[in-house]
Amino acid sequence: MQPFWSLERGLIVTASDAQVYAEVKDDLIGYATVLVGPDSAADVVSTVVVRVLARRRLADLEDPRSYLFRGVLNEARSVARRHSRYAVLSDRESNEDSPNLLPEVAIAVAGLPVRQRAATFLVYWMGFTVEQTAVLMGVRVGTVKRYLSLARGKLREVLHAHA
Amino acid sequence: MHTPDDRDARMFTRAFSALLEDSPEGPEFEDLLFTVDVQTVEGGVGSGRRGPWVLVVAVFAVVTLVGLVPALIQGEGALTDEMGSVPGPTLGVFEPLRGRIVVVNGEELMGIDPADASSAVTMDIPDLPPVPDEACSLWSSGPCNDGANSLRPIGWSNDGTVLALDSEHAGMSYLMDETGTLIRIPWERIGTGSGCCAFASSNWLAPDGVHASIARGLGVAVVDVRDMSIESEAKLDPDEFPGVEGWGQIYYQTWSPDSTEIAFVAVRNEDGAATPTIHIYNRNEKTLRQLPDQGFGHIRNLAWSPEGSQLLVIAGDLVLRFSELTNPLTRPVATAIHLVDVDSGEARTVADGHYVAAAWSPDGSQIAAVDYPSSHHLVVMNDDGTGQNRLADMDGYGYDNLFTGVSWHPAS
Repeated sequence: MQPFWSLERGLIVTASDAQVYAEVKDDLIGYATVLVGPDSAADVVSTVVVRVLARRRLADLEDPRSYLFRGVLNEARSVARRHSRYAVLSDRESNEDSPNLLPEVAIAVAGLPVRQRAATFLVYWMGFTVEQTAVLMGVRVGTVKRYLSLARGKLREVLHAHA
Repeated sequence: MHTPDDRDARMFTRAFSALLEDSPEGPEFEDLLFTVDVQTVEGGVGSGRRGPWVLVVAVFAVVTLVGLVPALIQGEGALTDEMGSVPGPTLGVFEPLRGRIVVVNGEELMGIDPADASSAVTMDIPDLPPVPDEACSLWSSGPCNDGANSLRPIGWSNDGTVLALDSEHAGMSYLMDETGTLIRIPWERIGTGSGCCAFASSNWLAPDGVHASIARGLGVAVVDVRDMSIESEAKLDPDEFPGVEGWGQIYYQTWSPDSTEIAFVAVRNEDGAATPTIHIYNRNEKTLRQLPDQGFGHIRNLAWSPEGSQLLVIAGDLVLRFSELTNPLTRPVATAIHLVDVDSGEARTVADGHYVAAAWSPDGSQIAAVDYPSSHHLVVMNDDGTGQNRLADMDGYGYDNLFTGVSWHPAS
């Protein structure tokens, strides 16, 4: 393996790390976008990957996808605590004449708690099973089911109110 | 015909499609690293990588403790093994803390009357005795002897005259007596240390005020703190409890009120997950048993009830990997207070929150707990979780104000 040397950060990483990252990059950025919005998504992914690389190689991880997904969720929750609203809403809502207004469902989903949003994204968009989602989120299967149930209930509540 | 599940799936799919319209491109790998130069490096991992946290330090040179511990600790006969609050002996510097919930607030101790939070008292902590260089732990979160006073209360002797404290800042343990004398427990004399990065108190002092428990290898040792002699040890089978190299596996201890048993948490490697289990060691019978698995994702702390039948367990759903044992604990994580029967292992949840530490009232009717949803709050509640009342907001200490601890003085 031919490693890269990052002089600024004092890390040694390998082409295998780069390959692992390339395989999950698009999924990670999509996940982060849903959790924190497009403006912060890249920062979240960067923060998580660099933090992991500071301690171990991506190529050494048993399940790098799950590990990184959990990291993104944890970091997203930190970001969410620092910001009062999901970032994508502030731009969209302020422009009522925009032809690209978010549908009510998107607003409702964006307003879900981060973990419920994560669970529904992984199950309904990424197509993971509940069991796979539990691994990706680092929680138990029953917990994922609870998140999904709460999210579905909240969505129906919002849609009913708008009907 | 569309089922509710189909409709739900379509709703979420539409929502995520809209939310992902502006999804940016993920940063390229080289951009993540801010690569300045690229060169081929022969060999393996470089020196710039930080190693993982470890809980058990390497053996240091023997440190001789001359007379201070025996002078500090009362003889065993002077203490009672009876449960509950104990009136009587003069408490000296601890008198203002009699019967109060004692927490760390920044760099001082604060005693709070659970019935009247407005009457909190504070107590300065003496300067830490100097730590020999060879005793400074390799993994401490800060240097030893740097002047930082970063102690947190762990627990009390039954008669309320001895207070155990931890300084996780430097990975050290201390005892303070009613004269205000503070001594360091030289764990390195028995080849171990109090650990780092649990971020909340773990009560290693026995109610008799003479014995202590400490993680040592894949188990716990019972130590007489008067002369640092090891009375006995409990060891888990490494075949049944595989770990991950470089990571400790024994966390959080609590003593039974009669000082005969120690409950502790062990984690084992299950497909990379740090699966926690609770164990109870009887130092008289030299027996070790495991409580039935409660299915906790991770365990944060333990506290044995004063009447002896229950373990208070702070635990959450989040399943941790060994490398995550400390990282998630640096931020608020959903945890609940559970009560587990020490014989049957039956568990019931009494309070949901983000708890990190808890202590029983001397009569067992109340629980004081530190809740950490964003900052540290001291909460008191009945032993069934009802009647919750936030008594105080506290400053943690150390980096990011993360370290905290709570204890309840036993004397009425």
